Amino acid sequence: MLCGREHDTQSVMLSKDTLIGVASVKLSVRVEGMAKGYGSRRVIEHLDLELGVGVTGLLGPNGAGKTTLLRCLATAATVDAGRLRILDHDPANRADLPGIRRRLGYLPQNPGLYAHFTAEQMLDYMAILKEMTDRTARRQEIDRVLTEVDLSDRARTKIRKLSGGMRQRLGIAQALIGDPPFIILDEPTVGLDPEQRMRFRALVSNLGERRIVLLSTHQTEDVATLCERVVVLCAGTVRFDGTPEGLAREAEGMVWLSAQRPASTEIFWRTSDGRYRVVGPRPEHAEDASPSIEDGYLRLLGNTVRSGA
Amino acid sequence: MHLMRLGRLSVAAVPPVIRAVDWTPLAAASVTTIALALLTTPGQPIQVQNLTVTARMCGVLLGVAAGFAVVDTADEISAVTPAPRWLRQSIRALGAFAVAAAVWAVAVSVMVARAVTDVDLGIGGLIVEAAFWIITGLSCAACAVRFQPVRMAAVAGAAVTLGLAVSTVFDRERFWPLPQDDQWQAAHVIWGVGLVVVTTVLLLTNREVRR
Amino acid sequence: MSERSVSKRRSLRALLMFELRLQLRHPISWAFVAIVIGWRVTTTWQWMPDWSVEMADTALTGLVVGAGLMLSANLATLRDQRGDAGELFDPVPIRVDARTIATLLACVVAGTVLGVAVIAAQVGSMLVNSTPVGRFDLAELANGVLVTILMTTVGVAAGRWTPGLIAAPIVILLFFWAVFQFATSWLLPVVPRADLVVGAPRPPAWHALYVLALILVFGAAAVLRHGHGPYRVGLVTVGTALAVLTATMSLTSPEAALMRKAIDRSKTPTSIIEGADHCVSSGGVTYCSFPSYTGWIPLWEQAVAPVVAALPSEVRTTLPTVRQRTATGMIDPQVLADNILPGTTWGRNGGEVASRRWLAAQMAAAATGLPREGQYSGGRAGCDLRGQARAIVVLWLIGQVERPVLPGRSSVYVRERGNGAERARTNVQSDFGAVDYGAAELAYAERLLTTADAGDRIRAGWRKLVDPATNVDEALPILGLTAGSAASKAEGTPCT
Repeated sequence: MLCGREHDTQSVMLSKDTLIGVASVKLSVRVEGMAKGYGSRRVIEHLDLELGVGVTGLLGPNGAGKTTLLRCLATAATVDAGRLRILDHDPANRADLPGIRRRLGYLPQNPGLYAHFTAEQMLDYMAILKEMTDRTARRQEIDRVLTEVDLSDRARTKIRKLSGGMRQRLGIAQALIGDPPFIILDEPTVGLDPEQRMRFRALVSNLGERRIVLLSTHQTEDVATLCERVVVLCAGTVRFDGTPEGLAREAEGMVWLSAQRPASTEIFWRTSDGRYRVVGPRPEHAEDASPSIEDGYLRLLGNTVRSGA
Repeated sequence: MHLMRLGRLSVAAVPPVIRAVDWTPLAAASVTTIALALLTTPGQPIQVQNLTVTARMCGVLLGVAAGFAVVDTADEISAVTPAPRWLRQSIRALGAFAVAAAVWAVAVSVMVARAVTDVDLGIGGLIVEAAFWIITGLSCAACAVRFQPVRMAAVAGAAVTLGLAVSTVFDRERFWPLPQDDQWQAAHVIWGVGLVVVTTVLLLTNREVRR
Repeated sequence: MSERSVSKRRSLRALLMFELRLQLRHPISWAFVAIVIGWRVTTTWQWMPDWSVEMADTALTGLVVGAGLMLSANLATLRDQRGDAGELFDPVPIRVDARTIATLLACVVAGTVLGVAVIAAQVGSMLVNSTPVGRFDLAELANGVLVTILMTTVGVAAGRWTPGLIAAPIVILLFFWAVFQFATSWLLPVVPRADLVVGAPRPPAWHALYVLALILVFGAAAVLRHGHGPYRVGLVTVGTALAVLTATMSLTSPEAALMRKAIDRSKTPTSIIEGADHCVSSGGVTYCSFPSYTGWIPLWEQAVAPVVAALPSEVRTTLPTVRQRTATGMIDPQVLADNILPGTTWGRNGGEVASRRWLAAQMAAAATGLPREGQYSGGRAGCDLRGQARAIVVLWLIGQVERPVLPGRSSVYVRERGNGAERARTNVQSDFGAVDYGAAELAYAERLLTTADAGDRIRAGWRKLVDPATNVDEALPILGLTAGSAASKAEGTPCT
C-alpha cells in the first residue's frame, strides 16, 4: 500500500560543514519483499512498505518484527532477502552507507548512553560521529537539540543522575542532531510523563512536516494524535497500512459495552464505570460503542484478553 | 569516505572516544602490575626466572583488562552514524594498548633495575610475549563485542584469554622457556607468529558489524 | 522449629539448587574443564605415570579448573548488582545474605563435583595401558579438589567485596603468580612439584586442612559483607585461627624439615645416579632403579633382553649396568662408561616404542663399542657411522626389539667464537645420541632382520663386523647379503 507523500528537496542543510549537497534528494523510503530471520527463526516475511514525508506509526505485538524492521532501516542490520531503498540509497551497497547515515536519526529501545558522560558530552560525541567536526557548529547544534527536548538546564548533568524520562529525552535529542530528514524512533515515549509526552508529540508533529518520521510504539494514543498513517505488523507481515481512523474502523460494529461479564472467549476488559468493553460478537444486553484505534488493533490481531479493572 | 574528512573526523573523535572508554579495569590491573613488580623477591636482586614469571603474568593481566576498553555500550546509536566502526574501535584499542604497554614497560623497568646484571634477561622476547597477550585480550573481547556490545562480552573475552594462557602452563618448556634455555628462540618464533595472527584478528573484528 | 524458619530453609534449599544447576552448566567452567582434561590427557597419554610426579601435577590442575569456576562464581555473585537488578531484588523476602550463602554453597558443591570429575578423568586416562610407579597419594589429589573449591569461594567473596568484573581475573592471575613465584612455599594452597631430587617430600595432611581453613575464611568473609553478626565474625576468626594453626603444623612438620634438607642438598651438585640403588640381575644384566621405580625394571628388561640374547656369549659378560638417572645432576664420564642410564620417564600407548628402541640402542652400542647417549666421539658435533659394518650390526640388534629408524635432524643457530656471527648448524639426534648413519646401512639391517640365519652369521663374524675399520662392502659377504643401495660415505667425523 502506498501512503505518505514523496517530497523532493533541493538540499538538506545539516550544518555549515555537513551541507549534503545541492542535488535533489528524494525523501522516500522503500521496502520491497523484505525478509529477515535470526538463525532458524523467521522474523519478517516478504514485507513491502513505502514511507514518505510525515509521521508513520508502527504498531504490533511483541515479536512482530517492529524492532527488526527499524534496525534494518537504520542500517544496523542487513536483510536476508528483498530490497531497501533509503533516501535514494541502497543500504546493501557499503559505499552508500555513510550517505544514508548522514541523513538518519535513530533512537533505539536501549540507546546505551554513557552514564559517566554529561548530557552535553554525549551529544557532542554523537555530533562528532555525525561528522560535525567544527566546534562552533557543534555547540550551536547541541544547544538547539537540547532546547527542542527541554533539557538545556541539564546540559552539564551526568547522565547517571538524570531521571528515566530525561534520559529518554536525551536519546531523542541525539537522534535530532544534524537535523536528519529520516528519523526512526523505537518506543520513544517510554518513561515520559504526560506533560513530557505532550511536548514530545508537538516536537514530532513539527518534525513530520518536512521529514520522514517512523515511530514504533505500544501507545495507541500516540498513534491517534501524531500519525497520519499507521502500519500494523504481525508475525513479520503487514496486517494493516492506512490511517488511524481506518484502523479504528476495522472494529466498526464490533465494539460493545455490557453490564455483564462476557463469555471468556471474547476480548473484553472492565472499564472505570464498572461496565465491560467487549470487542467481538455482540453479547447479550450490550450497547453499541464507538471503536477506538485500540479496538481496531485488537480486532485485527484477534487476541483473547483476560482482564480485570 | 574522503580522506580529508576522515582525518578531521579522526582527530575530533579521539577525545570523546577516549573519554567513553571504561578505564577502571585497566587502572586496577595497572596497580596490580606495579605492585607485583615491587613484590618480586623484595630485598634481593631479582633472578631471571622470577622476572620472567612476573613480566609474563602482568602481560596476560593487562591484556585481559585492556579487553574492557573495546566495549562500546552506546553501539546501538554510534553504529548508525557516518563515522566508521573501525575508526571508533581502533581508537579504543590503540588507547588501551598504549596504556597497557606503558604500564608493562614501567613494571619491567622497575624489575630490571633490581635484577641480576650478569645474565641475559630476554627483554626482547618478553616484549613480544607481552604484546601478544595485550593484543590477544583486545581481540578476544573485540570478537565477543561483535555479537553483544555489553560489558559481559569483555568477561567472555577475558575468559578466552585466560583459558589460552592457562592452557600453555601445561607445556612450559615450549611456550615459557627462560632466556638461557635452548627453546628460547623457537618459542619466540611461535609468539611472533601468534602476534601477527591476533593482530590480524583484531583488525578484522574492528570492521562494520551488520547482522 | 518455627514455620517461618522452615519456610526459610526450604527457600534457601530451592535457591541453592537453582544456583547449583546454573554453576554446573556454566560454559566458562566447562571450557576450563575441557582445557585441563584435553591438555593433560594429550601430554600424558604417551608417558607412563609416575605417581610421585603426577599426583602433584594433577593437583595443580585444580588451579586451572578453579580459575574457570572462580569466573563463573564471581559472575553469579555479581548478577544481582548488574544494571537495575538491585531494584528488582530489594523488595523480595529472600535477603541478600541468604542469596550469598546459597551461591556460596552451590559453588562449593559445583567445585567439588567438577574438581573430582577432572581429577578422576586424569587419573583414569593415566591408568590406560600403564605400569604406574611411585607413591599414589590420595591426600594430594584431595588437595587438588580443595584448591578448586577455594578458588570458587574466593570468587564469591571477591564478588561481594569488590563488585567489578575485573576483580576475578586479577585474583586468578595473583594465584598463578604466587604459585610460580614461591613454588617451594607450603603456604600456597597448592604446591607445585619440586624437581630437586627424586621423590622430594610433599606437604603433609595438615596442608589439606590448611586449605580447608582458607575456604572457611573466605566463605565467611563473603557473608561478612552483609553484616558483622557474632556468628559470622566468629566463623572468620575460627577459620583464621585454624589456617594459622594448620600452616604452622605444615611448616614445622617432619616433611618440611626433609624438604629443607632436599633444598639444601640441591644446592650441592649430586651425581645423576645417586639413590638408584634398588638392583636386580637378570639374563646377565644388572638393572638398578630409584626405590619408587622398581615397577619399570621388567619393562627395561623387555627392551634389553632380546639384544643381549642376540650377542655372542663372550660379549654378554662385559655389558654395562642399566642404572636409572635423574634429569639433572653431575655426570661422571666413568658413570657413563659403566652404565646405561634410562631416565625417570617411559612411554606407553605408542610412546613405549621410542623408549624401548632407545634402551635397546644403548645396549647394542655398548656391545659393539659405539658411543652412547652422552658420550661424544668426534666432538660435540658427534660422529658418523656411514660406511662402517658395525652400523648394520647395531641396527640389526635394535631390530630385535623395535624397528630401527633414521636419525632425526634439526637446524640450530650457533654463535661463532671470535666474531660472534651466527651460523646454521644441523644437529643430528639418533637413539645413540649425536651419531649419524645413512639409509643404506638401515636398508641392510632391515634385510638382515628378515634373514633366518642372520644371528648366526653375525655372532660368527662378530670380531670383524664390529671392528671400526671394517666397511660395509667387506661385511656383506660375512652377512650373506648382496650389494643393494650404493654404499654411503661418512659426511662427518667417522666414529672410532
